[in-house]
Parts: sequence; structure tokens; C-alpha cells
Amino acid sequence: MTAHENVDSSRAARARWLLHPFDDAPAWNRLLQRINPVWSLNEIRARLVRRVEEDDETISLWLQANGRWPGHAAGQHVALGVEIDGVMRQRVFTLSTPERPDGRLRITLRRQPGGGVTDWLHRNARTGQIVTLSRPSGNFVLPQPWPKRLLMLAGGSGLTPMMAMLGQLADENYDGDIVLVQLCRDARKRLFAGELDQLQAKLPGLQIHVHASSQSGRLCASALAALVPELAGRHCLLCGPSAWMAEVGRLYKRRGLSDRLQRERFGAPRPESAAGDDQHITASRSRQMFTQKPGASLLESAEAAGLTPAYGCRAGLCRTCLCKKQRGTVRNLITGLRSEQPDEWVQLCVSVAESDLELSL
Amino acid sequence: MHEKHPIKPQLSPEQLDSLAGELDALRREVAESYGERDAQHIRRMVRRAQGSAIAGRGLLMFGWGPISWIVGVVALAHAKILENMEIGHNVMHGQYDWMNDPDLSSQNYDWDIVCAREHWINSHNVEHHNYTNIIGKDHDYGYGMLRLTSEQRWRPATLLQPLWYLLLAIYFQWGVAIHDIKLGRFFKGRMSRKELAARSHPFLAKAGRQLFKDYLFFPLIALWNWQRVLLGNLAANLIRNLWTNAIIFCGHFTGDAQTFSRRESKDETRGQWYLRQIQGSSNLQGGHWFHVLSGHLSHQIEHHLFPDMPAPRYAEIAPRVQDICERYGIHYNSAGFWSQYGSVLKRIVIHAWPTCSSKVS
Repeated sequence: MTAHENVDSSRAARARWLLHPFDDAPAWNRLLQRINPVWSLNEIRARLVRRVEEDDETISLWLQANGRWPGHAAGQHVALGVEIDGVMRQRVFTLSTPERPDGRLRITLRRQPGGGVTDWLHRNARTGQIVTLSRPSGNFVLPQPWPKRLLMLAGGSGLTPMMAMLGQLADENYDGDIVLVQLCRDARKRLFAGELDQLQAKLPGLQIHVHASSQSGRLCASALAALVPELAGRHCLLCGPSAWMAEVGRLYKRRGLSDRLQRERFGAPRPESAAGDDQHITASRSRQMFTQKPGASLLESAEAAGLTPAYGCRAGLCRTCLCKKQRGTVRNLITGLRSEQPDEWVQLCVSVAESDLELSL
Repeated sequence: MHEKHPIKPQLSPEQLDSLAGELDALRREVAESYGERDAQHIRRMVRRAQGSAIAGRGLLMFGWGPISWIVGVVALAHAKILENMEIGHNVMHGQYDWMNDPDLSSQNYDWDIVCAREHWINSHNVEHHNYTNIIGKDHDYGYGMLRLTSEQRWRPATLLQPLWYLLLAIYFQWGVAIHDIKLGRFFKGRMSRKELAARSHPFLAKAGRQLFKDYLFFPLIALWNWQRVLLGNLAANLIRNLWTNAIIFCGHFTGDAQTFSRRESKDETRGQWYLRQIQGSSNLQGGHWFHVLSGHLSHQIEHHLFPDMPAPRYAEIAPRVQDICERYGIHYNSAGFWSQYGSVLKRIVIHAWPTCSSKVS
């Protein structure tokens, strides 16, 4: 935190003190939400305005957010929160539309059985429902200025950020050259077929290659290189199943083109199984000890020990599980950064212990 | 006048293990069913407390005549009691942490009382709930002011303890607030001035905010009605103090509530810990509204067995806990409010005299 921010926050703290009985945001929110359930002083809340069945397994939800929504860049994601049987749960979804004049947002989700948020939304999402949203985040956005030639590699639901980007390019009359390679299981049931046709009409330079694995098998890296003309001259945006992304990544590395490749990853990377001893972790608030399980995050280890830290996305995005680490060394698996100083905040869901720890849990 | 002393049952280690097993199983069974209705209950309580506070403060500020003043005081006292007992106490125990709602999380919640949350969490959740009724370790036993058993040391000033008790009841929120500063240690020279200042800081900050709110801010914005508001806030705080004090004293200081020595409670097994919690606590019988206004501390036994279980569940499991107690020959201390509170007052009067401990041994 910079000195400037410090001054600001202490000034804010003083002002809050004077307003003390009236600075209770949750209390105001309860009153506001009696009038309109999306109103809030501090939360981004949204009403579900339309549900579209894209195919048997995929739905799109259109959302109208309140005035706190700051706008997003095409390709970014958002953590969507719903209450399921009394428990507030969050999951991160990519927005599949660019910013629109009517302010509506769309997320597109494939059903994943197993009782999670996605499954719940598939079964229960109805127009009129209210959800919460995080601020949008993510760096998987079109580089500025826009490259003249683009390659978009989209595997399955990895198409969602590309849809937002293509929409933005179409809105702003992009005249460059785009190759979109869409991987799907069955070409007749490919996602967004109709919408892609419309985009094609607006984007003269767009070529779409559909690769259906049920007919042509897996798309290996060499076949990809043969399929796409001028691979080396294109800025590549890649999002899809992780094994396939790794394969494409190796292809780019072999050809010395890694700086041309921009990737979106879903989910937290798994920690490699720990070589050394289990780390002992002290939860100072609940006065419990637990050990770091090999291959598990601090959040999972704490839960295995019966603790119930707050969590949201479990993928290092929403910071709900932020926890003060009082001592010890923690490594963030996403950033790879080590936190070695006492009293630093760590994200439990994507962090592992590298020494014995004390956490404010 | 005489005190009943139900004999502490002598349970074998095997019986204690099986007692612990039964209670653990009961907790697991209930924990699996936390859900929608618990969330609805606590949210309903929050809305009720807020509505009552708005009505009470509104009547004090804008009403005229004695009737609206009295109704305003009752509504505000009701709001404070509900907020302190059924919401604040229970939320800060982590009873609703599983909801993953930041507004109902034990890590964030701060209550409408002069006691700072960090002090209360230490003196109550950590010390009192672990060392319940162990003389010398549970600092809530007599609050360092009252002699409630012949095991405690008698001093000539103890003769005046009915008066001390009356003062404590009237100023109960202040008693609770300064409790964890541990002034006694400072007066005995076991705490430096610097440590005292550091320990007092959260209390002073919180007390400043509370005094500002009830005795400066709200009277000031009431303009010419300031006296009505000031006196009304004072009366509401007094009612809350007397009520919470009566309920809390019935929890562990009734005639049949047992005390324990440090020696007895050394190296306790889980079964012995459960047994001590049952024997050191006492329940109050009453209707639904009574349980809610007591923050379900009327089910003190169930609360001490499972401090982080959503409170309305205590009433549901009480018959099963009572049945377990009966089978193990453990006295389940439960009676009406007046009979239990009467036995507390009797204890305060009896032990004002230099009673000796022969009766117990």
C-alpha cells in the first residue's frame, strides 16, 4: 500500500467514524433490496433476464447488472454467486458477450454433474432470479493495438471468450484477418453455430474451421500447423481442454513462437506432490493444528482437518479465502510468488505451505 | 437455606468414551442437515432486529407523549437484545460460518454493544468455552467480582457482593467489555502500563463509537427531542443489560451447576470435557419467544456441547441430549426462569458469607 492510499484510507476511516450508525452497508442493502432486489451500496447484483438453451448440455444466461458493474473487456471472466441451500457459492464464468449498449451480460455454461454451481444453475436458473457478481478480471483480452492477423483456437466451451472478442471486433468493424478453429465433439451440435454465421457476415476476414473429434479424431499439433496458413504471422488466442492447450503450447515453443501465444487457463493448477515432509500448520484463531496434505492446497488441507474457512471460486480469483499468514513461507501456485514475511495476506485456495505456518484461521 | 449438590457421577473411561461417541455422532448428524431453514432463520432475526431498531429509534425521535416513549424504549431494547443474543453471540461463535456469507461470518461480525469483538472472542469463545466452570481458569466464573462457591476465596469485601452484583447487572455491558482487559492483573502489578494501554485500545475505540452513537449522535439529530432520545437510549441499554445478565447468570451459576478444580480437569479426555460442559451448565424452560430472546442460551447445555451449531437446533436436539444424560446418570439441569434465577441470587447471598467447602467434599 502506498503512503497516498494510507492517508486516504485513514481519512475515510475518520469520516466513517462520524457516520458510524449510518455506515452499516449490509443494513442499508437490506432496506434497499426490499424496494428493488438488485440495489446495493457495495455489491454488484444482477437480475437474470433470459435463459437460452444452446444445446442439450449448454445454456446461456443473460444478466442485467446494477449500476455498480464497471464494464468489462471482451474475454474477461466474472465470479457469479448464488445461494444454494443456505450456502453462498461462487464460480467463475467467462462472459460470452462484449460490452453492449443495453448493458446486458451473458455467460454460457456447460452442465457439469456433481452438485456444483453449474449443475445448480442448469436445474434452477429462471428469469427474475438475482445473483451476485464480482468485478470482471482476467488478462485474456485482445492486445492493443489489434493485430492485423489473428488465430483463435477454441476447444469446447473455450469458445466463450472468443465469442466476446469476435463480437467486439464485429461491433468496431475490424477489417483484419481472423482464423477461428473450433473444436467440438459433433459438428451438427457445435456451440453458437447461428451466432457465428451472423458474425461471419459482419467480419469479412473471418474464416471458421470446425474440427469435430467424432468425425476426424483429435486435432494434433502438426495437423493444426497444416490447417492454419501463416501460423507464425498470427497472434494466437488459445482456450480449451488443458491437455490440448499444453500440446499447442509445445508446438509454439518448438517453433520459437511462444511470445505469439496468449492462453486462458481455467481452474487452479495442481501443486506437484510435495517431496519433503508434511508441513505443520497452526490455525491461531481456532487453536488447531493441521498438516499440509501432499497435492492439496492450504484450503483443502484446512477443510480436511475440519476447519471451514470462507471460500469462493477455489481458483485464486475471488479472494474470498484471503487469510492473514502470521509466519512461515507460502507459495502461490498461480503466480509462483513466495510470501516469506510475517503478516501477509495469502489466498488459501491456490497456496501451499513451504515451511511450518501460522495462519489466522 | 441449603444447596443441593447432585453428586458428580463416576463414569468409567469406557463409559466416557461411549458418551463422547454418542455426542459426536449427534453433532455430525445435525451438521449434515444445515441448510436453507437455518439461513432463513438467522436472516429473519436480522430483519426483525433491524425493523425493531428503526421503529424504536423512530418513536423516540419523532413521537410525543409517554406512551410512544415507552413503546420506543421497548422496541429498541428488543432490537438490542435480539442483536446481542440471537444474532451477535451466535454469529460470533461461527454458527453460520458454513453459509459463506461475509455479513454473517464470525471473522467479520461486530455487535451493537461496548464489548469489542476481539476481546469477547478471546474471553468467551477461547477461555470460557474451553475451561467452563474451572475455578481459576474460567474467568467468567463470577467475573472476578463474585464468590459463587466456597471454593473461591472469601474477603471482607465479599460481604457486600449482593450490592456488587446489582451494580454489575445494571452496567453489565461495561462489565463484559472490560473483562478481557484483565484489570486485576494490572492492579496486582502483573501487567505493565504499556500492556494495559495496548489491551485497552480495542475497548476504548469500541466504547467511544457506542457512546457517540447512543448519547451524542441520535440525541443531536433529534433536535428539540434530544432529551427523549437520550433517556430512551439509556433505558433501552439498561433493559438489555438486566435481561442479558439474568440469562447469562442462569447459564452456569444456578444452584445445581457444578464447579471444577484445575486438578480435576487436567488432561481431560473428550468424554470428560463433554461431561464437565453438561454439569457446569443449566437450561431454562420456556416458549419459542423466550428461547429466541435468550439467544437460545436457555439451552446452555446444548450450546456448551456444540457451541458452533446454529442455535435453533438446540431446541430440537434437547430431548436427545436429555435422553443421553439419563442413560449415563448425568443430572440434566433444567427448570423455569424464576426457579433458576432464584437459585443464582441465593448463591450470591449465601457465599457473601465465609462458607466453608466441607459440604462439597
